[in-house]
Amino acid sequence: MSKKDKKKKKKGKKMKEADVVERVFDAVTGFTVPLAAMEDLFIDDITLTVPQVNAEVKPHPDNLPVGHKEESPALPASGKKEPDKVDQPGTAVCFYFQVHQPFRLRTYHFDQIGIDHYYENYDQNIEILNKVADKCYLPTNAKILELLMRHKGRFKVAFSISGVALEQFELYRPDVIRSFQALAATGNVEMLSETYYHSLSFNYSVEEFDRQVLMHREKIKALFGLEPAIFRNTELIFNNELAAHVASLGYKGMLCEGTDRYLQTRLPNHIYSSPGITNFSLLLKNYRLSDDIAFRFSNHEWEDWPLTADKFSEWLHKHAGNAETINLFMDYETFGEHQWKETGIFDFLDNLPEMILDHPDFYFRSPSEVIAAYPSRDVYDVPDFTSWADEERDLSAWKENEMQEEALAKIYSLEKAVKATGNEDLVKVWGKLQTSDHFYYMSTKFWADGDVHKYFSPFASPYDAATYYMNAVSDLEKTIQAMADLPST
Amino acid sequence: MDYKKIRVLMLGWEFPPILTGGLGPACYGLAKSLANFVELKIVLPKSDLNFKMKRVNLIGLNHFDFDPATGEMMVDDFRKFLAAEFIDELNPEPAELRISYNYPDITGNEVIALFNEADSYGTNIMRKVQAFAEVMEQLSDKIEFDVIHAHDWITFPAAVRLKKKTGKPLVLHVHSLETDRAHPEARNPVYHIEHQGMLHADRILPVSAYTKNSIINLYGIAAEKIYPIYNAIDETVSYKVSRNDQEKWILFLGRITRQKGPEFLLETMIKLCSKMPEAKFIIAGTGDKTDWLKEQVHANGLDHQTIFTGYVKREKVTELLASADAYFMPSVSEPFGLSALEAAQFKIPCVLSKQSGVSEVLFNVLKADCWDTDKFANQLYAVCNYKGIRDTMVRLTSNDLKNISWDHSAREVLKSYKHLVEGNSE
Repeated sequence: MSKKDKKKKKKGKKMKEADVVERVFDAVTGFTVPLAAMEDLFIDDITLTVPQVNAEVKPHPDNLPVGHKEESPALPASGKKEPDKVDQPGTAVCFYFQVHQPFRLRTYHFDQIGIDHYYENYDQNIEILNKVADKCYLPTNAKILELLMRHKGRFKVAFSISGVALEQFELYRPDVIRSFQALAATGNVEMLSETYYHSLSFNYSVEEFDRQVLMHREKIKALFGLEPAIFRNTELIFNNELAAHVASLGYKGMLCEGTDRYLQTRLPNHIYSSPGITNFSLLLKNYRLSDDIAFRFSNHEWEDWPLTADKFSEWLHKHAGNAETINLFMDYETFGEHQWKETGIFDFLDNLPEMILDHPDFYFRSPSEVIAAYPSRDVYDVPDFTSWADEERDLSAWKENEMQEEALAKIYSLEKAVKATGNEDLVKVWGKLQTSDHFYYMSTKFWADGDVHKYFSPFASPYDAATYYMNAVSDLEKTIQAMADLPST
Repeated sequence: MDYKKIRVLMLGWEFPPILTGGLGPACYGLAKSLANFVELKIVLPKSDLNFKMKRVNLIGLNHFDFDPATGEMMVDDFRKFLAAEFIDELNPEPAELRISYNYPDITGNEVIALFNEADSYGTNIMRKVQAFAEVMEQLSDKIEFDVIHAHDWITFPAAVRLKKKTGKPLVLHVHSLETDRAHPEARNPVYHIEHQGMLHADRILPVSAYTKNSIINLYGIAAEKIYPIYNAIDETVSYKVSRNDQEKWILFLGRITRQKGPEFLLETMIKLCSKMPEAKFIIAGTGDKTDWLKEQVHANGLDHQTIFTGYVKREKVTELLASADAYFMPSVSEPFGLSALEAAQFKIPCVLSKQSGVSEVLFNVLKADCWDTDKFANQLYAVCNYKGIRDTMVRLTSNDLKNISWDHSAREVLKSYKHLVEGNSE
């Protein structure tokens, strides 16, 4: 069946791309297009080019959207560029965006311990979610969707969306879920695996880590119909031990920070492997180029301000022939939230794919595609934990001072007891208290001069964050104890 | 190399070893460090001749006699005021000093009597302030100086008269204001003395930004001439006294007056003690609100969780600091709050009112508005029950203390002197 024939078979009137985008994101005002209808529309246009990488380098089969039908590859509509050749894989640009929102705690006072068992700041969580949804998630998703359609399969991105973020979208902003579903349905978006609670569980309990990874997989499958093949840990926390464990869970690879400490003079722009582990690829964040967008984009003091898509593409193109994959990993909130709309970040995003693709050897590839396209070039040996946080790129943002250590030790000390209660609600409450943000708010790294603004936190001080957290955990402990003391039925 | 030190005439009131409040130690600490940078002479209404400082001349007016025959104030040997270094080098011979005194309102004999009273304040404080200004004006003829530096309202009238007489630049140091001690609305004679003094001053050095704001907002003084100089504390060897009880000692140290927030202390005690039976408040100090506080503690059934120590001597203060689990300062208005620095030195976690100057230099203490007793109770609960919070506070507070020194403060004061005397802008 030719493309034309297929189109004729459609319901008669074809929606224009712009209409689709507009209508999908009219979700804010309550109008939604049923997911099935979107799939119909998108796949028709876009999956034509899904296997554009080449026959051998396909997206992970589990990553194809729901309802995807195997079709023979067709030429991209523009015909401007040939699909990749396997013998000339060129340079991949791999975008991964982190989407996460914690359940922030309220000012839970000591006199409520044993009386009130609700710890969250309901109003603040909704307020922040609404703000970020309207400033970042919906407009950026709209832009990404537009780009995916405009570039007909030659633009790819990956997301990792924490379980607690998804839970909050379901509770307060289902329109955000729908807009991510629309992206996933294009087949050009890869969903990554992480711990459901965006936690530091691997550092404290492997059993709990495995439970959360599974929970998150189930959530992603239920919402997006996808089975992630690639893993990323909370805040890109990583070391050899974790890599080995993640490989043992059946993942094909994972994302991590490309730290100078362990890369030494090497560049992050290749696939690496972990010592002694085969068939498991590491994608290393290129932190300089990533941070140019995520942190420096609107910094007027920066010598390269203003950053244009033109300029940034030029920087990427300089790597032609030397780099196999340039991994641009960042918080999704970069778009519209960290960098406001007024900074021109959306125009930058709008122009970037085209500018990058202008170079004949450059391709956008999802993490799975990158792993399939390039072999490992070297071993990335990381004995100590690294992360993508701060200059130190270690764990010090979450576990450095005594109150962080105490809080972490306390919450994980409750694992056996809370699971023994068999009370799912209690286990959920315990899980949400593991979210890494709680410990980040307790950081005193930049507190020396009392500067509140260096660290984003809902609390006025790291001590407030620790106090209310510890009060909440004290209550949870009491509740668990009370449950354990109940006569078994 | 030929740099000539700036000559400073400092007017003080309390000074070691004769101490009543926090003014004396603060003046002494600053003077000791300033002496490294400037030529310093301090005039006090009352001094102890046995107390000597390195390179600082301490002139006590109580050591003058009145000679009715000539109508002069006199000392037989001026060298008794000089630092040892200056006696040998510059003044080998005994030197009599005479200044004329012909003020009709206060007789010469009364002046001498006033400066020799045991209480340097007392009910006749205004007369002492007046006498100090009179004698000071005459004495200034005998002293060479480039800048006048006066501490708190009791010395302001003398300082302003010196400025008017000599045209030398005037620096006023504000350790506390009448609006702190009495009430923000206070507009009494002391307030007006402070106000007039500050209008005449070329520079005002309050002990905190908190006090700077009061000077701007309650006295209407231009912000441009106000430069906060934080108080500091000399290093000390701290120690811990371990107790065998399971109690958590929360130390309140200071006068029990409106300014120190006894109402908020009580409210916090009521909120905390009901939930935390092991909490014990140690209330060290006296004041006009002591009886009221005792009655309230009793009426609220908190007797078994409270100890009133009454007035405590220096050694006892140290012992309390070494024994306490937390330090609590709910002051309504605290220009600085030096005792919090002492508590920090003794590695006690501090819970402080935001209405205090010391909270501007200690970042790793817990702070709340003085009326927010819910928050105070919550903070005290946290430092008593969560070791991690306590340990982090204490460790980081030790770092904060390293940045607080009299030497640093003296250098800041020197900047003001240089600006005024040499026209250097900092």
